[in-house]
Amino acid sequence: MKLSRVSAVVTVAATIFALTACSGGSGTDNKTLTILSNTQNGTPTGDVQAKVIAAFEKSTGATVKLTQAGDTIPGVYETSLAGGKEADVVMVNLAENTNNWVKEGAAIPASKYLDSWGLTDKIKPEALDAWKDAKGDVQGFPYSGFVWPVWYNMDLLNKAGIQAPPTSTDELLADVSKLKAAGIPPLVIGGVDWSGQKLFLQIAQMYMTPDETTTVYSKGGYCASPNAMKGINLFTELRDAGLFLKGSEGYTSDQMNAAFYDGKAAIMSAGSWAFGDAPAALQANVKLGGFPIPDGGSYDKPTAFQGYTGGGFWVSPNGAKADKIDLVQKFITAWYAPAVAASWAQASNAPTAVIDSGSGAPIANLITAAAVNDLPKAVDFAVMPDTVVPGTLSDAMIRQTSVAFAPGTNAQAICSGLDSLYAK
Amino acid sequence: MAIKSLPDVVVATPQRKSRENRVKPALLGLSLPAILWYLAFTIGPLFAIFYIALLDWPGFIAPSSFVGLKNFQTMFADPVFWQAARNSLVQLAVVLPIMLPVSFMVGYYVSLKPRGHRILRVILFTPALISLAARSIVFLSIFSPTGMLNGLLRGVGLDSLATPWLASQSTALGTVMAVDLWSGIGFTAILFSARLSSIPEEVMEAAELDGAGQWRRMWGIAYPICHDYFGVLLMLQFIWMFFASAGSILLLTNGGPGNSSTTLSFLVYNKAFRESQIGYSQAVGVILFAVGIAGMVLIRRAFRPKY
Amino acid sequence: MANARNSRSNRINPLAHAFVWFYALLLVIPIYFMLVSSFKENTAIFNSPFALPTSLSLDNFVNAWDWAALGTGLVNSVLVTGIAEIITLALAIPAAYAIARSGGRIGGIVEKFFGAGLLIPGFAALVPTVILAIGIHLFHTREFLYLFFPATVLPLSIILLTQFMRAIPAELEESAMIDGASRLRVLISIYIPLTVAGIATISILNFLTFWNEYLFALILAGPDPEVRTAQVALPNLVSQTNTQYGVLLAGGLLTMIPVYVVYMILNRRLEDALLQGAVKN
Repeated sequence: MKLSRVSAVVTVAATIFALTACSGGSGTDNKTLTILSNTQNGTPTGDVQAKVIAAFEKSTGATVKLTQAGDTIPGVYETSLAGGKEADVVMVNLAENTNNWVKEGAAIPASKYLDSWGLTDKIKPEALDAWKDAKGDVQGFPYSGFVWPVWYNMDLLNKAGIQAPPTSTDELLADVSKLKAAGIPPLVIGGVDWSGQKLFLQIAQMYMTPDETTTVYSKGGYCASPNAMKGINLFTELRDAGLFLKGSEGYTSDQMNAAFYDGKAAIMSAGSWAFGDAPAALQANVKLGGFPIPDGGSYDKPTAFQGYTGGGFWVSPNGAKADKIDLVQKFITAWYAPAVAASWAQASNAPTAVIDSGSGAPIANLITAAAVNDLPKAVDFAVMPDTVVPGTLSDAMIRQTSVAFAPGTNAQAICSGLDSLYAK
Repeated sequence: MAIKSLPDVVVATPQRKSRENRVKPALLGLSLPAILWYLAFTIGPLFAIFYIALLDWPGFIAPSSFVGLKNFQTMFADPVFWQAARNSLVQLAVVLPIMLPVSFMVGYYVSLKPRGHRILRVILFTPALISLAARSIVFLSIFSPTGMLNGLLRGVGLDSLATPWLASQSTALGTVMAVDLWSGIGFTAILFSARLSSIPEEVMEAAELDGAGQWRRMWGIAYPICHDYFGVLLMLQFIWMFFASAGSILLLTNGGPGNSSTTLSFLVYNKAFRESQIGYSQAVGVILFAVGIAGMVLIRRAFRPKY
Repeated sequence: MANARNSRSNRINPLAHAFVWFYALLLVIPIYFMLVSSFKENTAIFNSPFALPTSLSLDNFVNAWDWAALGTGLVNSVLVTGIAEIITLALAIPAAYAIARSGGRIGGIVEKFFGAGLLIPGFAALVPTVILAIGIHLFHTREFLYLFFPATVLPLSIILLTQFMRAIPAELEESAMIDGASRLRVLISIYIPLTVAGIATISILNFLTFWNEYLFALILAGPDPEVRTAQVALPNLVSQTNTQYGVLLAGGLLTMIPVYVVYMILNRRLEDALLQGAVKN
């Protein structure tokens, strides 16, 4: 009786396996292309992605398997690579872990294909530069850009008697007093996450040249660099003067956006991805600019970030194989058509890395329009930390910079906390 | 009826043991599938942890090299490791002594079948039903600077107490522990009530006739009967908190600010998946395992019924 | 019975009532938050988190279903959870019985053996498990989860079930065996019915563990929508920059509904078992 019971269970199990066995894994026939993307469904850019995929399937007769994994893409991709089952093409930004992919052989450098696919002339040179690694290879195909300005709610500033956004830190300090007198919190930031980290690093580099910044941010040595210490002291001075909305050190970037959209603070530093969500009523009131600069600092105009590392295409070892590479080429080059680039630029409210991506259509979103038309003249662009901070440190660094936003943390504690990250 | 054969239940088990020391083939056969499964999927990986701890392995796709005990040396010299150890210890020392007795009492309450106990059962099990991701969003909103807790405090005029709970070095760990308590008490109470409900009615009736109130019955009678089970649940919560707290910490505070809410289990996850130091991560895993065994032995010692 | 309940020493301290129901309130609040938020947009969620929604549109739910392909995800979750549940019970029940009845040293050793499994630091075991999955060619498949999930809960299930089985008097078994019943028959006709409370308890626990498992399902089964479980599908509603929390929470609620249903069913079983006093002749 026992035996027959066991065999019954085994039979059932085997049947179940057999029934459900046809599933999973990336397609092995050469008519399927597997994409791993961090662009989600249901967003404007997700809609563009869906259209491109549909058009591609129609014109090539191939099937596209789209998988998404948000910000767990590095973990998912790397483990699937270990199992030989990685996607053919990955669509993700150049930041953190992806900085190591070409070095580790997890991706084939785009420079191998740029010329033969005729894309070199279609991509902005500064974008190609941004995607180069230490050896000079372009790691992935640059695609998405971003700008990251400081947003000023002129309505609230006017209420406090301020007529124009501050351009120097002296003006900023004066404005902070006026805003506090009017009961308006000056600046809100997501102290807890990457948005706080970027703002901190933006202020910390105010006295350093781009080269110095690159050295310190990639190798450490904050306490030992006099100019870095000047920047950190500037940060603590601004913080202690009441620049940040109370509790900012506990805010995430989503909460920062929500607070600013709701008129709860006069200033925020946020990237172009937030342009689309800004309420229509607010758009007319917002002026874009940079972060005010100190006297004797290394920049001439208020600073903001911009870059072309916001998104791009990576070719995996699977994708580079002879039976897939043609499909991969067709898929990637499809994105660089002017019409596609234009629709992506519009959906993402930011410039793309594609040279010919303007259709000349008027931009509906007032903030995006300001970013395209007015911002470049008004600001200098600072060193974007994501391109120089080592990928494996960024997570720990975000935890350290969040400490910096807490009132009472002194500059020495901040710099030694940062230095300890690079010590290993 | 059923009740007549019950009085033996309470003391039956220990006296049987001396007669059953021989191995019975049928019994062994019954447990064999489980043992094999376990060996393949649990013991195997366990040994792998020890081996990987001896490697320098900077990321899944990078090559690994044998470095002997170097990871352990680095670990013992790393202040973050010691802070994580401290945090883990604090977490256990504060949460367990609160959670277990409170769960026991709530479980006892439920087993008395007071009015509304059916609804209560469903509510108490709720934390277990919510997935980690959903739970963390909820608590992020409750503890955020403009969230519910601060809103409540301001509403009753306790403005000065309103801090960013998850983002302040002095309160981050405490907040994580509060969430641990929130999720653990409810369903541990249900587990207790399952056991408590199988205590025979007449034992309790006898106590009632003696005039013992609920409190005395709970701790004087029910507790000794469930002594062993209490130890098992204590052990389970110890293990869950010590090993599995990484998930909720990841979603609530990401170990920060600084390292103030990093525990040893979070360190294992972080080192492997965020900082790409797999060998080091497994070395911490080895320590986790060793301390876990020590803890388990201690608890078993304290709660073993004496034969 | 009714009289006994009202007697003096049976009275429950009002403080106890207050405390337990206060805690219950604390448990309900997050559910309430999830419910109202699933009908709102981000700004409303952050700025007035506990206010009632202004409209009851189902947009968030529809979007969550579409964007994360929750339909397929739920099917996969049901398959993985169901099959793993069956395998776990098939392994744990006989083993618990064996340990409970073995007593002495052998029983103690086997119990400790399983107890050691509880000490495997979960996240640490992820790395070797991936290697194992690759090695047996089941990486990125649901089938691996069918096999692997039971192993993760075996120690707990066996230990808890053993507790319940130990509470059953050996005389019942002995008299049945004297009548000629085999061990297996004893297990099936005596022990299982008497430990329904324990079996239902671990069934619920394991169901929850399997259903809510995220990290292992993500890494081992992968992100392919055909294979991924509902929990892995859900975070695809989270964006680095513009998460729509209303949709995310709506999706979360959708993945919780099956759990509630199963819990209601199993809970009834559990309650019935407990109400019968757990021991029959």
